[in-house]
Amino acid sequence: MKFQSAILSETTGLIILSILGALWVFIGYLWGKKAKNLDGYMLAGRKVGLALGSATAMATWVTSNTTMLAPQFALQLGIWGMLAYSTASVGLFLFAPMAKRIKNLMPHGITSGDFIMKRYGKKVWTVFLLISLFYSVTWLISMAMAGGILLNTISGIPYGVGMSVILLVCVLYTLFGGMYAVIGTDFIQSIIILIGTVLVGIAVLGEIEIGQVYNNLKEFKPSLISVMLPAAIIALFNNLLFGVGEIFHSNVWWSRAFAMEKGVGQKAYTLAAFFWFPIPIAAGFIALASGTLNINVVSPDMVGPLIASHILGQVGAVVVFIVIFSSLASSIDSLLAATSDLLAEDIYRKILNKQASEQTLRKAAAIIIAGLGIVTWLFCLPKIGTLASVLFFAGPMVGSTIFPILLGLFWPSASPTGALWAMLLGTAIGLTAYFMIGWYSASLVGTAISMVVMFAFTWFKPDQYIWATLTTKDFSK
Amino acid sequence: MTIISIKIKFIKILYSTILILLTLLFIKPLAHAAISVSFSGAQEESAKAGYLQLEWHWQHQNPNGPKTPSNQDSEPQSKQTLPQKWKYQLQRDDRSEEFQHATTVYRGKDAASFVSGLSDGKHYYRVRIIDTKGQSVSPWSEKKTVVVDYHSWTLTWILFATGATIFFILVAVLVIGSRKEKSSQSEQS
Repeated sequence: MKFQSAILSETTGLIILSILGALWVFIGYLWGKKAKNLDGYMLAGRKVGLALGSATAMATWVTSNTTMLAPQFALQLGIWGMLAYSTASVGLFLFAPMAKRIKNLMPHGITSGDFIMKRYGKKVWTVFLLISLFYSVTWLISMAMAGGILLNTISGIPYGVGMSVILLVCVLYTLFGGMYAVIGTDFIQSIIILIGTVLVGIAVLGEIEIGQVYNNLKEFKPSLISVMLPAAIIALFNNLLFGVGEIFHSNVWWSRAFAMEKGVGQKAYTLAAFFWFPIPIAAGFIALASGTLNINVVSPDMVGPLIASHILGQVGAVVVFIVIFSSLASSIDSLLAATSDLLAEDIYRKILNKQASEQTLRKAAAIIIAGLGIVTWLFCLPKIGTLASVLFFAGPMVGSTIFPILLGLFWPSASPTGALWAMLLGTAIGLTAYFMIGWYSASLVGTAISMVVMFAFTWFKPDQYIWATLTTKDFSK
Repeated sequence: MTIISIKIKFIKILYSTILILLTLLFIKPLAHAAISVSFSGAQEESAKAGYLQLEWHWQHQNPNGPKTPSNQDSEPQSKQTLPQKWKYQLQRDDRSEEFQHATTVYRGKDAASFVSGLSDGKHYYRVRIIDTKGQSVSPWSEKKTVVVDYHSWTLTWILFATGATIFFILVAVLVIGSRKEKSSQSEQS
């Protein structure tokens, strides 16, 4: 066999899947009753407090990638790789003061697209929307696909069944409850993720000694504990900037900033970053222990579940199953909600129906959630295993949006022409680096080019933006 | 017991012994010739970052022999399974392509292994099938050479310094911007 066999029986997997699925839909339905108007449905009434705010940010950022890709980074790039992945928390730290600024500047804003349209105009908004939609849809598809693959690998549940159930559950509760349901379920899911990760971490530390891991790595994989591994050194800031780009531009994070009560955003994002930071380090360390435990790794992204079940047996496999299901659901629901908001507000209201009432817009958002679910399901059906790697293409794209957004929020001199060229050139040259040097350099190069272009235009062709423009209630044009 | 019957018994024993000897002499080499293992992909592959996934498959070369998954065209390679009593042995040598300092890095039924943390230079791999007692069932495969050629240090440090500079600027813009906002808010209030 090329791939490791299932570590949990299919029946057990299906029972857990059914119980968790029913629980999420029920909670979503209950919480969804609170959504009385458009603000309630899209932004949870803009009254999300600190506990729910931090939990939703943390849970959304713990994706299938955290449980799959963080161990992969450690196995590929060693100690540096482990640190590189955990730098994704820097994005949350840096977004914290931005969340405060966003809420102050745009008290009535709904999406990140609203900001770009008002701040830079239609041309930049079009490029930004293309980047953002490419990123969101690819992330959504890759995560649903990863869900099907993971559930199949862990429990033998057929790929089509696992993928369809996880997607259906998320679509149902997001559809019923909008942002209320997403944030409510995220809170419970974040607790499950934290407890599960701590349990597995303690079990691994009880089973092996750090000295043994070090000796094994020194003998068989010496470069993983070396500080002088070129690809890993390059990857450190590359991954940091990829994470920053993802968070700065994506409506997943902007919608949460709008949804939180005034004064809550900065604290909530900082807390979420603190809680998230150790998770990839724990997952990465588990991966580095695979050699000491005599576990052959066929596919590096499956190393976390493998080791957990190896040490904790069936209990470990059940814990891993629940943690993975929760981390997948907490990200898929957020993406469904944020992407449907973006499509409803930025495409439907700004282009198709400028006179749309609140009720029409809410209906449109619900239809878009269902439509997104169906489109994602259709894309996932063929099980194109390589599609997840397409997400890495998004690295330079989202990297190129960092400085246009950052300077656009704080400097009135940041110009639309600069933002346009920063995004276009950053994306193009970043993608070239992807192929010429490697995936671990693309976001870094994309961000660097975009930064230089943005500063050059701000210096030579400064704008004089009036901040009051952003306080408007009407973002339909 | 007559002398004739003793002779017949002797001839029978002699005949059986010869048969056993012939079996030992020919069957084992035949088994070696029939089962083979080979790596997938090119014989030499480069790995800029020191990691690579090695894949291999086994074949039964005797057309009259039992069908194995590898000679059934419709069966995908990933589903190849070894008979219960067999397993793969993967060896690595970082110094000699003759495998004079070979170390076994994997024993088991997986037809692939993700290798990482390889240092700059050439690394040689070979794989074979062994039985439960560790006796070889197939000869060693052709060697696979993994050439690890790290990125140049100039490029590495340029990109690292670029990343560090961007990060510094990013933080500076945010801190200064946030402070300005705070002071303007306190002025307003």
